[in-house]
Amino acid sequence: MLDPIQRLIASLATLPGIGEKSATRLALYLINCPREKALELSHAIADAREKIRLCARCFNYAEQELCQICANPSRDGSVVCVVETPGDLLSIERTGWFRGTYHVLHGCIMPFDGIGPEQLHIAELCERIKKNPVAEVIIATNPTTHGNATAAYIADQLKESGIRVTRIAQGIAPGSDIGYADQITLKNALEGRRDMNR
Amino acid sequence: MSSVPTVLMRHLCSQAVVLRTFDFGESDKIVSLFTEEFGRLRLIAKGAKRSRKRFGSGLEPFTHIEAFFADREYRGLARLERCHIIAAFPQIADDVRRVVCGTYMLELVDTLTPERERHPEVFLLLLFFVSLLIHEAFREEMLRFFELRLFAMLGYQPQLMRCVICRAAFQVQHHYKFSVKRGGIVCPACQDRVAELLPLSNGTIRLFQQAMRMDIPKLPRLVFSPAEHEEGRLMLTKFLEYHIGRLPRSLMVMEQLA
Ligand SMILES: [Zn+2]
Ligand SMILES: [Zn+2]
Repeated sequence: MLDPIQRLIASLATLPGIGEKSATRLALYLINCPREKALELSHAIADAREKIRLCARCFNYAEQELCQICANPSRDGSVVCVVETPGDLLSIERTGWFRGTYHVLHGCIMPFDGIGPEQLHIAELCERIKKNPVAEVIIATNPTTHGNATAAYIADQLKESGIRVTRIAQGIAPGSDIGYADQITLKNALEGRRDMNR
Repeated sequence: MSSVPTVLMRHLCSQAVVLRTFDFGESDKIVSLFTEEFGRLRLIAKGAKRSRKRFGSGLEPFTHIEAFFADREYRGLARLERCHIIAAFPQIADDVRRVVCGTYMLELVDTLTPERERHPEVFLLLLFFVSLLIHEAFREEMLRFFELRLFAMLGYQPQLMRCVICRAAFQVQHHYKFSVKRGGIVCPACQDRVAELLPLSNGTIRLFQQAMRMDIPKLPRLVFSPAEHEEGRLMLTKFLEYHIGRLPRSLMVMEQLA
């Protein structure tokens, strides 16, 4: 049996990006800081684990059956933005620009890891749209081989529905230099061009 | 005064095909490459998770790159310093089936080749089949030729020229079966002595014999009948499963798309 300090260090060291050294530093801090502060952290962890589940509609994190976005009547339910992870959803939310709803896949098709459509929430997306037709599905998976393949698969699955399916633009990052962009980025930037005088 | 010699840092460069990457810690990636000069290598790409500045899209699977890396012999992972894209195949991602078929080839190479064992012929085979993926003419059955030739290059070649029991040469008038455990065809006279035989018609055997001899660029011309392809696929899958002890993960995803 590990003593309590060793046990705490070992638990902290399992967190992403935390090595043995950082885990030790954090553990010693938690032991030396005011008792309430350490207990608040432990309660916050327990509380989040108890109360957070996946939204029944979009698979974002939720406290109720529906997440705050799906439950918000001022969000535009006729537009669904498909993302790989809840983290990607948060990034788009932080822009404050998007007023539609989301669908979180919880990954993308990665054959090397045995992750195919069945391991993602793709069937639920198709089902959701069949029940409540929408005006547009925006696919915002990552612009990687696997993200693009997932986008192609979803677009294919929605083809027969006749719903407008769009893909987020890919291309040259603001503030970067065309001379340093690689050929794939440039190809995408040219494909994703838009009219300026219309 | 004697001092311990410092570990030699070699700066190397080779053409390579990117097999896969995965995140490592907060900001790095581990990259598995199949290089022309050094065989399969695992390298660390510092900062590749956080920023695409250094490597761009050069670390996407299937990409044909020239990789520049520092290798401290016998000490941990080699470090990828930069890469230059020779050919990229982003169109593969327009069709999920091609991505899955392609990943299956990458997974076979990643699984079957020992690290740091030079196989330039495997590099050329992989490069040829990866570039085939973006061709209109690509068909899933071409994977059988990839499997067959890869197995042969790595010493797992199934014996299709003679009976693995009595060594008698293949004869068209006989009906053969295939033994995964014995690694080849079994003639009618020997079939009683071997358990777990798979059906394998003479048409398929002869097609595979041809595929073993042919120049690689000509392989796409060979055509299977659906029945031949099905038994050939089953035979090669069982053969592979026997040698690696499991089924490739990308094969399970392929089944989902069927
Ligand atoms: Zn929701
Ligand atoms: Zn025999």
